[in-house]
Amino acid sequence: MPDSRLLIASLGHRFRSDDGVGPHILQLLWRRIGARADWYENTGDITGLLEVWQNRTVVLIDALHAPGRATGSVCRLDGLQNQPSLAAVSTHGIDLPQALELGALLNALPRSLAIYGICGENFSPGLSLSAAVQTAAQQIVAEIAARVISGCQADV
Amino acid sequence: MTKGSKSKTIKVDYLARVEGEGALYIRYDDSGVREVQLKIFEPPRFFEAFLRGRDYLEAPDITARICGICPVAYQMSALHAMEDALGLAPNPALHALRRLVYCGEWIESHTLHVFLLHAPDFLGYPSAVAMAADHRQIVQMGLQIKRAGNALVRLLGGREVHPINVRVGGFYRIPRVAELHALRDELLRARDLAMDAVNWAASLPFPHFERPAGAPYEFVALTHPHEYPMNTGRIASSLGLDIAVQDYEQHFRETHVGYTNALHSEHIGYGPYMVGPMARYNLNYDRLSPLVREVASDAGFAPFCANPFQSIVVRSLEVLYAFDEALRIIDQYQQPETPYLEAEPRAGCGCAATEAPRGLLYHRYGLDQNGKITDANIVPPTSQNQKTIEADLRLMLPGFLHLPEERLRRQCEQAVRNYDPCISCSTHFLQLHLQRESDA
Repeated sequence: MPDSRLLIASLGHRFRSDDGVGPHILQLLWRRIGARADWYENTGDITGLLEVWQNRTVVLIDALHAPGRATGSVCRLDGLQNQPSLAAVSTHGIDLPQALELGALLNALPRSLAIYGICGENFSPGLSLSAAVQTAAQQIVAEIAARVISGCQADV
Repeated sequence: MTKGSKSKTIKVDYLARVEGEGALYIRYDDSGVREVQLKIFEPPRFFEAFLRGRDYLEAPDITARICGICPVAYQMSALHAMEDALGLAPNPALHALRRLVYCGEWIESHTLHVFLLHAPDFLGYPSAVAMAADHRQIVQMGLQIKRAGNALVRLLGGREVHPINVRVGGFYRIPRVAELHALRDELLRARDLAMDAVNWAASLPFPHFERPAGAPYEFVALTHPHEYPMNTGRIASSLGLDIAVQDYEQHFRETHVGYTNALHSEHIGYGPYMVGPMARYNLNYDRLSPLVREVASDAGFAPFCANPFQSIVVRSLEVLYAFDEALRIIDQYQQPETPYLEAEPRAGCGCAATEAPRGLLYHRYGLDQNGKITDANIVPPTSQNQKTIEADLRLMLPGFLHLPEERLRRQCEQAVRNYDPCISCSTHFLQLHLQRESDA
Protein backbone atom coordinates (compact mmCIF):
# COMPACT_ATOMS: atom_id res chain seq x y z
CA MET A 1 0.00 0.00 0.00
CA PRO A 2 1.51 3.33 -0.98
CA ASP A 3 1.78 5.84 1.84
CA SER A 4 -0.11 8.90 0.69
CA ARG A 5 1.71 11.33 2.95
CA LEU A 6 4.37 13.43 1.32
CA LEU A 7 7.92 12.71 2.50
CA ILE A 8 10.33 15.63 2.44
CA ALA A 9 13.95 14.55 2.78
CA SER A 10 17.30 16.25 2.76
CA LEU A 11 20.85 15.19 2.15
CA GLY A 12 23.80 17.19 3.37
CA HIS A 13 26.05 18.07 6.24
CA ARG A 14 24.94 20.89 8.49
CA PHE A 15 28.53 21.79 9.35
CA ARG A 16 29.85 22.05 5.79
CA SER A 17 28.59 25.52 4.85
CA ASP A 18 26.53 25.35 1.61
CA ASP A 19 26.31 21.58 1.95
CA GLY A 20 23.93 22.27 4.82
CA VAL A 21 21.29 23.89 2.63
CA GLY A 22 19.24 20.66 2.49
CA PRO A 23 18.74 20.31 6.25
CA HIS A 24 18.35 24.11 6.48
CA ILE A 25 15.43 24.04 4.04
CA LEU A 26 13.97 21.06 5.86
CA GLN A 27 13.96 23.05 9.08
CA LEU A 28 12.33 26.11 7.48
CA LEU A 29 9.72 23.97 5.75
CA TRP A 30 8.93 22.11 8.92
CA ARG A 31 8.09 25.40 10.61
CA ARG A 32 5.72 26.26 7.75
CA ILE A 33 3.97 22.95 7.12
CA GLY A 34 5.04 20.65 9.96
CA ALA A 35 2.16 18.22 10.23
CA ARG A 36 1.34 18.13 6.54
CA ALA A 37 4.35 16.00 5.61
CA ASP A 38 6.79 13.47 6.98
CA TRP A 39 10.39 14.53 7.42
CA TYR A 40 13.70 12.76 6.96
CA GLU A 41 17.17 14.24 7.30
CA ASN A 42 19.77 11.91 5.84
CA THR A 43 23.27 12.59 7.03
CA GLY A 44 25.33 10.14 5.10
CA ASP A 45 23.97 6.62 5.14
CA ILE A 46 22.09 6.69 1.87
CA THR A 47 20.75 3.17 2.34
CA GLY A 48 18.39 4.81 4.83
CA LEU A 49 16.52 6.25 1.85
CA LEU A 50 15.61 2.73 0.73
CA GLU A 51 13.82 2.23 4.02
CA VAL A 52 11.83 5.44 4.09
CA TRP A 53 10.96 6.29 0.51
CA GLN A 54 9.51 3.05 -0.84
CA ASN A 55 6.33 3.69 -2.80
CA ARG A 56 6.02 7.26 -1.55
CA THR A 57 5.84 10.73 -3.02
CA VAL A 58 9.20 12.18 -2.13
CA VAL A 59 10.82 15.57 -2.32
CA LEU A 60 14.59 15.41 -1.87
CA ILE A 61 16.65 18.53 -1.26
CA ASP A 62 20.40 18.74 -1.53
CA ALA A 63 23.26 21.02 -2.38
CA LEU A 64 24.92 20.65 -5.74
CA HIS A 65 28.53 21.04 -6.60
CA ALA A 66 28.29 22.05 -10.22
CA PRO A 67 31.24 24.08 -11.46
CA GLY A 68 30.17 26.45 -14.17
CA ARG A 69 26.68 27.00 -12.79
CA ALA A 70 25.84 30.10 -10.82
CA THR A 71 25.84 29.81 -7.05
CA GLY A 72 22.27 29.67 -5.83
CA SER A 73 20.83 28.43 -9.10
CA VAL A 74 18.27 25.69 -8.57
CA CYS A 75 17.99 22.46 -10.53
CA ARG A 76 14.67 20.67 -10.38
CA LEU A 77 15.02 17.07 -11.41
CA ASP A 78 12.68 14.14 -11.68
CA GLY A 79 14.83 11.65 -9.83
CA LEU A 80 13.15 8.63 -11.40
CA GLN A 81 13.58 9.88 -14.95
CA ASN A 82 16.78 11.89 -14.99
CA GLN A 83 19.34 10.35 -12.75
CA PRO A 84 22.01 12.97 -12.80
CA SER A 85 25.64 12.12 -12.77
CA LEU A 86 26.32 12.17 -9.08
CA ALA A 87 29.38 11.51 -7.01
CA ALA A 88 29.56 9.71 -3.71
CA VAL A 89 27.29 11.18 -1.10
CA SER A 90 28.93 9.52 1.84
CA THR A 91 32.46 8.71 2.80
CA HIS A 92 31.28 5.26 3.73
CA GLY A 93 28.25 4.35 1.78
CA ILE A 94 26.52 4.32 -1.52
CA ASP A 95 25.50 7.38 -3.47
CA LEU A 96 22.12 8.55 -4.66
CA PRO A 97 22.21 6.98 -8.15
CA GLN A 98 23.25 3.69 -6.57
CA ALA A 99 20.40 4.01 -4.09
CA LEU A 100 18.04 4.46 -7.02
CA GLU A 101 19.53 1.48 -8.85
CA LEU A 102 19.38 -0.66 -5.72
CA GLY A 103 15.84 0.51 -5.12
CA ALA A 104 14.89 -0.62 -8.61
CA LEU A 105 16.52 -4.03 -8.06
CA LEU A 106 14.92 -4.50 -4.65
CA ASN A 107 11.51 -3.02 -5.47
CA ALA A 108 12.17 -0.19 -3.06
CA LEU A 109 11.75 2.93 -5.18
CA PRO A 110 9.62 5.93 -4.37
CA ARG A 111 6.46 6.45 -6.38
CA SER A 112 7.75 9.84 -7.42
CA LEU A 113 10.95 11.67 -6.59
CA ALA A 114 11.40 15.38 -7.09
CA ILE A 115 14.96 16.50 -6.48
CA TYR A 116 15.68 20.13 -5.71
CA GLY A 117 19.38 20.83 -6.08
CA ILE A 118 20.87 24.13 -5.04
CA CYS A 119 24.26 25.02 -6.47
CA GLY A 120 26.69 25.90 -3.72
CA GLU A 121 30.14 27.39 -3.78
CA ASN A 122 31.57 26.89 -0.31
CA PHE A 123 31.72 23.41 1.17
CA SER A 124 34.39 24.04 3.75
CA PRO A 125 33.72 23.47 7.45
CA GLY A 126 31.32 26.09 8.77
CA LEU A 127 27.77 26.95 9.59
CA SER A 128 26.84 29.76 7.20
CA LEU A 129 25.29 29.55 3.77
CA SER A 130 26.42 31.72 0.87
CA ALA A 131 24.06 34.65 0.31
CA ALA A 132 22.85 33.31 -3.04
CA VAL A 133 22.23 29.87 -1.53
CA GLN A 134 20.30 31.47 1.33
CA THR A 135 18.11 33.31 -1.19
CA ALA A 136 17.53 30.13 -3.19
CA ALA A 137 16.59 28.30 0.00
CA GLN A 138 13.88 30.88 0.78
CA GLN A 139 12.56 30.57 -2.75
CA ILE A 140 12.36 26.77 -2.56
CA VAL A 141 10.70 26.87 0.85
CA ALA A 142 8.04 29.24 -0.46
CA GLU A 143 7.52 27.13 -3.58
CA ILE A 144 7.16 23.79 -1.82
CA ALA A 145 5.10 25.18 1.05
CA ALA A 146 2.65 26.88 -1.33
CA ARG A 147 2.13 23.67 -3.24
CA VAL A 148 1.69 21.53 -0.17
CA ILE A 149 -0.71 23.99 1.44
CA SER A 150 -2.77 24.18 -1.74
CA GLY A 151 -2.90 20.39 -1.85
CA CYS A 152 -0.87 19.97 -5.03
CA GLN A 153 1.48 17.35 -3.63
CA ALA A 154 1.71 15.59 -6.90
CA ASP A 155 3.09 18.74 -8.44
CA VAL A 156 5.80 19.25 -5.85
CA MET B 1 8.21 17.97 -10.90
CA THR B 2 5.58 20.27 -12.31
CA LYS B 3 3.54 18.50 -14.91
CA GLY B 4 3.55 20.24 -18.25
CA SER B 5 6.59 22.35 -17.45
CA LYS B 6 9.38 22.40 -20.01
CA SER B 7 11.89 19.83 -19.11
CA LYS B 8 15.59 20.35 -19.54
CA THR B 9 18.32 17.82 -19.37
CA ILE B 10 20.89 19.01 -16.88
CA LYS B 11 24.13 17.17 -16.36
CA VAL B 12 25.22 17.71 -12.80
CA ASP B 13 28.78 16.78 -12.03
CA TYR B 14 27.87 15.52 -8.60
CA LEU B 15 25.79 16.33 -5.58
CA ALA B 16 27.84 18.07 -2.99
CA ARG B 17 29.92 15.70 -0.87
CA VAL B 18 33.46 16.83 -0.81
CA GLU B 19 34.93 15.27 2.26
CA GLY B 20 35.66 11.83 0.97
CA GLU B 21 38.42 11.36 -1.54
CA GLY B 22 41.38 9.13 -1.39
CA ALA B 23 44.31 8.56 -3.65
CA LEU B 24 46.99 6.00 -3.54
CA TYR B 25 50.48 6.71 -4.73
CA ILE B 26 52.82 3.83 -5.27
CA ARG B 27 56.37 4.14 -6.51
CA TYR B 28 58.23 0.96 -7.34
CA ASP B 29 60.98 -0.46 -9.46
CA ASP B 30 62.12 -3.92 -10.45
CA SER B 31 63.53 -4.47 -6.99
CA GLY B 32 60.26 -3.78 -5.23
CA VAL B 33 58.01 -1.10 -3.76
CA ARG B 34 59.78 2.14 -2.92
CA GLU B 35 56.96 4.32 -1.66
CA VAL B 36 53.31 3.93 -0.70
CA GLN B 37 51.17 6.92 0.19
CA LEU B 38 47.51 6.65 1.07
CA LYS B 39 46.23 10.19 0.75
CA ILE B 40 43.12 11.12 2.67
CA PHE B 41 41.43 14.45 2.20
CA GLU B 42 38.99 14.20 5.04
CA PRO B 43 39.72 16.57 7.90
CA PRO B 44 37.43 15.74 10.83
CA ARG B 45 39.55 17.66 13.26
CA PHE B 46 37.98 21.03 12.53
CA PHE B 47 35.40 19.93 15.07
CA GLU B 48 37.98 20.43 17.77
CA ALA B 49 38.00 24.14 16.95
CA PHE B 50 34.19 24.20 16.72
CA LEU B 51 33.98 22.87 20.23
CA ARG B 52 35.98 25.57 21.96
CA GLY B 53 33.70 27.83 23.95
CA ARG B 54 30.71 25.50 23.62
CA ASP B 55 28.93 24.05 26.62
CA TYR B 56 30.01 20.61 27.79
CA LEU B 57 26.48 19.30 27.19
CA GLU B 58 26.78 20.10 23.49
CA ALA B 59 29.86 17.98 22.84
CA PRO B 60 28.04 14.69 22.18
CA ASP B 61 25.69 16.23 19.63
CA ILE B 62 28.35 18.32 17.89
CA THR B 63 30.90 15.52 17.60
CA ALA B 64 28.20 13.15 16.34
CA ARG B 65 28.29 15.19 13.15
CA ILE B 66 31.81 14.04 12.41
CA CYS B 67 30.41 10.82 11.03
CA GLY B 68 27.06 9.90 9.50
CA ILE B 69 27.77 6.21 9.96
CA CYS B 70 29.11 6.05 13.50
CA PRO B 71 27.69 9.09 15.33
CA VAL B 72 26.94 7.01 18.42
CA ALA B 73 30.65 6.29 18.82
CA TYR B 74 31.45 10.00 18.83
CA GLN B 75 28.63 10.66 21.26
CA MET B 76 29.76 7.90 23.58
CA SER B 77 33.40 8.94 23.65
CA ALA B 78 32.37 12.56 24.19
CA LEU B 79 29.97 11.92 27.04
CA HIS B 80 32.28 9.49 28.81
CA ALA B 81 35.07 12.06 28.59
CA MET B 82 32.79 14.75 30.00
CA GLU B 83 31.73 12.45 32.82
CA ASP B 84 35.40 11.79 33.53
CA ALA B 85 35.96 15.54 33.81
CA LEU B 86 32.89 16.06 36.00
CA GLY B 87 33.36 13.01 38.23
CA LEU B 88 30.11 11.35 37.12
CA ALA B 89 29.71 7.58 37.15
CA PRO B 90 26.49 6.39 35.51
CA ASN B 91 24.83 3.42 37.18
CA PRO B 92 24.76 -0.10 35.67
CA ALA B 93 21.30 0.39 34.16
CA LEU B 94 22.40 3.45 32.20
CA HIS B 95 25.61 1.67 31.23
CA ALA B 96 23.55 -1.19 29.81
CA LEU B 97 21.40 1.20 27.78
CA ARG B 98 24.54 2.76 26.34
CA ARG B 99 25.78 -0.65 25.30
CA LEU B 100 22.41 -1.26 23.73
CA VAL B 101 22.54 1.83 21.54
CA TYR B 102 26.14 0.96 20.66
CA CYS B 103 24.96 -2.52 19.61
CA GLY B 104 22.57 -0.79 17.22
CA GLU B 105 25.35 1.26 15.69
CA TRP B 106 27.72 -1.69 15.31
CA ILE B 107 24.95 -3.52 13.48
CA GLU B 108 24.18 -0.55 11.21
CA SER B 109 27.79 0.28 10.43
CA HIS B 110 29.24 -3.21 10.06
CA THR B 111 26.33 -4.40 7.95
CA LEU B 112 26.65 -1.48 5.57
CA HIS B 113 30.33 -2.23 5.14
CA VAL B 114 30.07 -6.01 4.93
CA PHE B 115 27.23 -6.22 2.42
CA LEU B 116 27.45 -3.05 0.36
CA LEU B 117 31.09 -2.01 0.43
CA HIS B 118 33.33 -5.00 1.04
CA ALA B 119 31.44 -8.00 -0.32
CA PRO B 120 31.57 -6.83 -3.96
CA ASP B 121 35.38 -7.02 -3.74
CA PHE B 122 35.27 -10.71 -2.87
CA LEU B 123 32.60 -11.62 -5.39
CA GLY B 124 34.23 -9.74 -8.25
CA TYR B 125 31.79 -6.89 -8.72
CA PRO B 126 32.60 -3.22 -9.13
CA SER B 127 29.79 -2.12 -6.80
CA ALA B 128 26.98 -3.25 -4.56
CA VAL B 129 24.51 -2.42 -7.31
CA ALA B 130 26.25 -4.71 -9.77
CA MET B 131 26.43 -7.38 -7.09
CA ALA B 132 22.74 -6.98 -6.24
CA ALA B 133 21.77 -7.82 -9.80
CA ASP B 134 23.17 -11.34 -9.29
CA HIS B 135 22.96 -11.65 -5.50
CA ARG B 136 19.73 -9.91 -4.65
CA GLN B 137 19.08 -12.10 -1.62
CA ILE B 138 22.45 -11.31 -0.10
CA VAL B 139 21.86 -7.57 -0.37
CA GLN B 140 18.34 -7.95 0.97
CA MET B 141 19.66 -9.97 3.89
CA GLY B 142 22.12 -7.19 4.65
CA LEU B 143 19.46 -4.51 4.50
CA GLN B 144 17.16 -6.57 6.74
CA ILE B 145 19.90 -7.00 9.33
CA LYS B 146 20.71 -3.32 9.14
CA ARG B 147 17.07 -2.39 9.60
CA ALA B 148 17.07 -4.09 12.99
CA GLY B 149 20.10 -2.03 13.99
CA ASN B 150 18.33 1.10 12.84
CA ALA B 151 15.34 0.18 15.00
CA LEU B 152 17.56 -0.12 18.07
CA VAL B 153 19.26 3.22 17.50
CA ARG B 154 15.95 4.88 16.69
CA LEU B 155 14.34 3.68 19.92
CA LEU B 156 17.29 4.53 22.16
CA GLY B 157 18.50 7.58 20.30
CA GLY B 158 15.33 9.19 19.00
CA ARG B 159 16.35 8.68 15.38
CA GLU B 160 18.52 6.21 13.54
CA VAL B 161 21.27 8.60 12.48
CA HIS B 162 22.74 11.29 14.71
CA PRO B 163 20.69 10.29 17.74
CA ILE B 164 19.40 13.16 19.84
CA ASN B 165 18.53 11.30 23.03
CA VAL B 166 21.92 10.59 24.58
CA ARG B 167 23.40 13.11 26.97
CA VAL B 168 26.10 13.55 29.55
CA GLY B 169 24.91 11.63 32.62
CA GLY B 170 22.55 9.32 30.75
CA PHE B 171 19.65 9.85 28.37
CA TYR B 172 17.06 12.58 27.92
CA ARG B 173 14.40 9.90 27.88
CA ILE B 174 14.76 6.27 28.84
CA PRO B 175 12.74 3.55 27.16
CA ARG B 176 10.01 1.67 28.94
CA VAL B 177 10.39 -2.07 29.38
CA ALA B 178 7.53 -2.70 26.96
CA GLU B 179 9.17 -0.59 24.27
CA LEU B 180 12.34 -2.65 24.39
CA HIS B 181 10.45 -5.93 24.52
CA ALA B 182 8.56 -4.86 21.41
CA LEU B 183 11.86 -5.09 19.51
CA ARG B 184 12.63 -8.66 20.59
CA ASP B 185 11.00 -10.49 17.70
CA GLU B 186 12.70 -8.36 15.09
CA LEU B 187 16.05 -8.76 16.83
CA LEU B 188 15.62 -12.53 17.09
CA ARG B 189 14.84 -12.78 13.38
CA ALA B 190 17.78 -10.57 12.54
CA ARG B 191 20.06 -12.60 14.81
CA ASP B 192 19.18 -15.70 12.79
CA LEU B 193 20.06 -13.81 9.63
CA ALA B 194 23.29 -12.66 11.25
CA MET B 195 24.24 -16.30 11.84
CA ASP B 196 23.64 -17.00 8.16
CA ALA B 197 25.73 -13.94 7.36
CA VAL B 198 28.69 -15.29 9.32
CA ASN B 199 28.59 -18.56 7.42
CA TRP B 200 28.25 -16.72 4.12
CA ALA B 201 31.15 -14.36 4.93
CA ALA B 202 33.35 -17.24 6.07
CA SER B 203 32.78 -18.96 2.72
CA LEU B 204 34.09 -16.04 0.65
CA PRO B 205 37.35 -16.48 -1.25
CA PHE B 206 40.05 -14.65 0.72
CA PRO B 207 43.31 -13.45 -0.74
CA HIS B 208 46.06 -15.00 1.32
CA PHE B 209 48.06 -12.48 3.31
CA GLU B 210 49.79 -12.64 6.63
CA ARG B 211 52.43 -10.41 8.06
CA PRO B 212 55.94 -11.89 8.08
CA ALA B 213 57.13 -13.10 11.46
CA GLY B 214 59.39 -10.09 11.89
CA ALA B 215 56.64 -7.53 11.26
CA PRO B 216 53.54 -8.67 13.13
CA TYR B 217 50.55 -6.42 13.67
CA GLU B 218 50.23 -4.70 16.98
CA PHE B 219 46.53 -4.99 17.77
CA VAL B 220 45.20 -2.26 20.06
CA ALA B 221 41.75 -2.27 21.66
CA LEU B 222 39.91 -1.76 24.87
CA THR B 223 39.73 -4.77 27.14
CA HIS B 224 37.34 -5.33 29.98
CA PRO B 225 37.26 -8.15 32.53
CA HIS B 226 33.59 -8.96 32.00
CA GLU B 227 32.47 -7.53 28.65
CA TYR B 228 33.38 -7.56 25.01
CA PRO B 229 34.54 -3.95 24.89
CA MET B 230 32.35 -1.09 23.78
CA ASN B 231 32.11 1.80 26.22
CA THR B 232 34.67 1.16 28.90
CA GLY B 233 37.87 -0.67 29.70
CA ARG B 234 41.63 -0.41 29.68
CA ILE B 235 43.68 -0.01 26.51
CA ALA B 236 45.61 -3.15 25.73
CA SER B 237 47.73 -4.41 22.87
CA SER B 238 49.00 -7.67 21.49
CA LEU B 239 52.54 -6.55 22.41
CA GLY B 240 51.69 -6.35 26.10
CA LEU B 241 50.48 -2.78 26.55
CA ASP B 242 47.94 -2.44 29.35
CA ILE B 243 47.15 1.13 30.34
CA ALA B 244 44.34 3.27 31.67
CA VAL B 245 42.61 5.40 29.04
CA GLN B 246 43.92 8.48 30.88
CA ASP B 247 47.45 7.48 29.82
CA TYR B 248 46.63 7.20 26.11
CA GLU B 249 48.51 10.33 25.06
CA GLN B 250 51.65 9.21 26.87
CA HIS B 251 51.80 6.10 24.71
CA PHE B 252 50.35 7.16 21.36
CA ARG B 253 51.34 10.10 19.21
CA GLU B 254 49.76 11.75 16.17
CA THR B 255 51.93 13.38 13.56
CA HIS B 256 51.13 15.38 10.48
CA VAL B 257 52.33 13.93 7.20
CA GLY B 258 52.49 16.28 4.25
CA TYR B 259 50.58 14.27 1.70
CA THR B 260 47.43 13.55 3.74
CA ASN B 261 44.94 15.44 5.84
CA ALA B 262 44.46 12.55 8.25
CA LEU B 263 47.04 12.58 10.98
CA HIS B 264 49.15 9.48 11.35
CA SER B 265 49.15 7.75 14.72
CA GLU B 266 51.86 5.57 16.14
CA HIS B 267 52.50 3.71 19.34
CA ILE B 268 55.47 5.59 20.73
CA GLY B 269 58.54 3.39 20.57
CA TYR B 270 56.74 0.70 18.58
CA GLY B 271 55.30 2.24 15.41
CA PRO B 272 52.12 1.48 13.46
CA TYR B 273 49.30 -0.40 15.10
CA MET B 274 45.85 -1.69 14.20
CA VAL B 275 42.53 -0.81 15.81
CA GLY B 276 39.12 -2.14 14.86
CA PRO B 277 37.23 -5.42 14.71
CA MET B 278 40.29 -7.66 14.25
CA ALA B 279 42.06 -6.03 17.18
CA ARG B 280 38.99 -6.33 19.39
CA TYR B 281 38.40 -9.92 18.36
CA ASN B 282 41.99 -11.02 18.85
CA LEU B 283 42.27 -9.37 22.26
CA ASN B 284 38.80 -10.19 23.56
CA TYR B 285 37.70 -13.45 21.91
CA ASP B 286 36.89 -15.05 25.26
CA ARG B 287 34.47 -12.20 26.11
CA LEU B 288 32.27 -12.99 23.13
CA SER B 289 29.02 -14.75 23.93
CA PRO B 290 28.95 -18.56 23.78
CA LEU B 291 26.68 -18.40 20.72
CA VAL B 292 29.15 -16.26 18.77
CA ARG B 293 32.09 -18.48 19.66
CA GLU B 294 30.07 -21.53 18.66
CA VAL B 295 29.09 -20.02 15.32
CA ALA B 296 32.69 -18.97 14.66
CA SER B 297 33.91 -22.47 15.48
CA ASP B 298 31.26 -24.11 13.30
CA ALA B 299 32.28 -21.85 10.44
CA GLY B 300 35.88 -22.96 10.91
CA PHE B 301 36.98 -19.51 11.96
CA ALA B 302 39.83 -19.46 14.48
CA PRO B 303 39.89 -17.41 17.70
CA PHE B 304 42.75 -15.36 16.25
CA CYS B 305 42.60 -13.65 12.86
CA ALA B 306 45.81 -12.46 11.20
CA ASN B 307 44.61 -11.98 7.63
CA PRO B 308 43.02 -8.53 7.22
CA PHE B 309 41.00 -9.76 4.24
CA GLN B 310 39.11 -11.93 6.73
CA SER B 311 38.05 -8.88 8.72
CA ILE B 312 34.72 -9.20 6.90
CA VAL B 313 34.13 -12.40 8.90
CA VAL B 314 35.08 -10.68 12.15
CA ARG B 315 32.65 -7.87 11.40
CA SER B 316 29.93 -10.42 10.75
CA LEU B 317 30.71 -12.08 14.08
CA GLU B 318 30.54 -8.71 15.82
CA VAL B 319 27.13 -8.09 14.24
CA LEU B 320 25.97 -11.43 15.62
CA TYR B 321 27.43 -10.52 19.01
CA ALA B 322 25.64 -7.17 18.95
CA PHE B 323 22.29 -8.92 18.47
CA ASP B 324 23.06 -11.43 21.19
CA GLU B 325 24.15 -8.71 23.58
CA ALA B 326 21.17 -6.52 22.73
CA LEU B 327 18.78 -9.36 23.51
CA ARG B 328 20.59 -10.08 26.78
CA ILE B 329 20.34 -6.42 27.83
CA ILE B 330 16.67 -6.22 26.86
CA ASP B 331 15.82 -9.40 28.76
CA GLN B 332 17.52 -8.09 31.91
CA TYR B 333 16.34 -4.51 31.56
CA GLN B 334 14.89 -2.67 34.50
CA GLN B 335 14.00 0.93 33.88
CA PRO B 336 16.36 3.26 35.77
CA GLU B 337 14.73 5.59 38.28
CA THR B 338 16.13 8.67 36.60
CA PRO B 339 17.05 9.11 32.95
CA TYR B 340 20.27 10.92 33.75
CA LEU B 341 22.54 12.01 36.55
CA GLU B 342 22.87 15.73 37.15
CA ALA B 343 26.30 17.30 37.15
CA GLU B 344 27.68 20.59 38.38
CA PRO B 345 29.99 22.25 35.87
CA ARG B 346 33.55 22.56 37.12
CA ALA B 347 36.97 23.21 35.70
CA GLY B 348 38.86 20.09 34.75
CA CYS B 349 40.03 17.74 32.09
CA GLY B 350 38.47 14.46 31.06
CA CYS B 351 39.17 11.77 28.53
CA ALA B 352 37.62 8.55 27.30
CA ALA B 353 38.02 5.92 24.65
CA THR B 354 35.23 3.76 23.32
CA GLU B 355 35.13 1.17 20.57
CA ALA B 356 33.67 2.66 17.41
CA PRO B 357 32.87 0.09 14.73
CA ARG B 358 36.18 1.01 13.07
CA GLY B 359 38.15 0.90 16.30
CA LEU B 360 39.35 2.85 19.27
CA LEU B 361 38.00 6.42 19.39
CA TYR B 362 39.73 8.68 21.88
CA HIS B 363 38.39 12.04 23.13
CA ARG B 364 39.91 14.50 25.59
CA TYR B 365 38.34 17.79 26.70
CA GLY B 366 39.34 20.65 28.94
CA LEU B 367 36.55 22.55 30.73
CA ASP B 368 36.48 25.89 32.53
CA GLN B 369 34.59 26.50 35.77
CA ASN B 370 31.37 27.21 33.81
CA GLY B 371 31.53 23.95 31.90
CA LYS B 372 32.67 25.62 28.66
CA ILE B 373 35.09 23.63 26.54
CA THR B 374 38.57 25.14 26.47
CA ASP B 375 40.23 22.56 24.26
CA ALA B 376 39.48 19.24 22.62
CA ASN B 377 41.43 16.38 21.15
CA ILE B 378 39.75 13.70 19.05
CA VAL B 379 41.66 10.75 17.63
CA PRO B 380 39.52 8.77 15.19
CA PRO B 381 40.22 5.16 14.26
CA THR B 382 41.12 5.94 10.65
CA SER B 383 44.12 8.04 11.57
CA GLN B 384 45.25 5.32 13.95
CA ASN B 385 45.06 2.73 11.18
CA GLN B 386 46.54 4.77 8.37
CA LYS B 387 50.17 3.77 8.88
CA THR B 388 49.16 0.13 9.14
CA ILE B 389 47.14 0.34 5.93
CA GLU B 390 50.20 1.69 4.15
CA ALA B 391 52.40 -0.98 5.70
CA ASP B 392 49.96 -3.67 4.55
CA LEU B 393 50.11 -2.33 1.00
CA ARG B 394 53.89 -2.18 1.10
CA LEU B 395 54.06 -5.81 2.19
CA MET B 396 51.31 -7.03 -0.13
CA LEU B 397 52.28 -5.26 -3.32
CA PRO B 398 55.29 -7.35 -4.31
CA GLY B 399 52.87 -10.24 -4.64
CA PHE B 400 50.45 -8.18 -6.73
CA LEU B 401 52.67 -6.23 -9.11
CA HIS B 402 52.45 -8.85 -11.83
CA LEU B 403 48.72 -8.10 -12.13
CA PRO B 404 47.32 -5.87 -14.87
CA GLU B 405 46.94 -2.30 -13.65
CA GLU B 406 43.16 -2.42 -13.32
CA ARG B 407 43.28 -5.64 -11.33
CA LEU B 408 46.10 -4.22 -9.22
CA ARG B 409 44.03 -1.14 -8.44
CA ARG B 410 41.09 -3.28 -7.37
CA GLN B 411 43.32 -5.40 -5.17
CA CYS B 412 44.72 -2.28 -3.50
CA GLU B 413 41.23 -0.89 -2.94
CA GLN B 414 40.14 -4.15 -1.39
CA ALA B 415 43.15 -4.07 0.93
CA VAL B 416 42.29 -0.52 2.00
CA ARG B 417 38.64 -1.43 2.47
CA ASN B 418 39.66 -4.18 4.89
CA TYR B 419 39.86 -1.32 7.37
CA ASP B 420 36.52 0.31 6.45
CA PRO B 421 38.24 3.69 6.57
CA CYS B 422 36.37 6.94 6.77
CA ILE B 423 37.13 7.97 3.23
CA SER B 424 35.05 7.67 0.14
CA CYS B 425 34.24 4.05 -0.36
CA SER B 426 32.46 4.52 -3.65
CA THR B 427 33.49 2.33 -6.51
CA HIS B 428 36.21 4.55 -7.89
CA PHE B 429 37.41 6.12 -4.71
CA LEU B 430 41.05 5.45 -5.39
CA GLN B 431 43.05 6.88 -8.20
CA LEU B 432 46.10 4.71 -8.52
CA HIS B 433 49.25 6.43 -9.68
CA LEU B 434 51.89 3.85 -10.42
CA GLN B 435 55.29 5.25 -11.12
CA ARG B 436 58.07 3.01 -12.32
CA GLU B 437 61.41 4.40 -11.20
CA SER B 438 62.82 4.24 -14.72
CA ASP B 439 59.94 6.48 -15.93
CA ALA B 440 60.41 9.08 -13.22
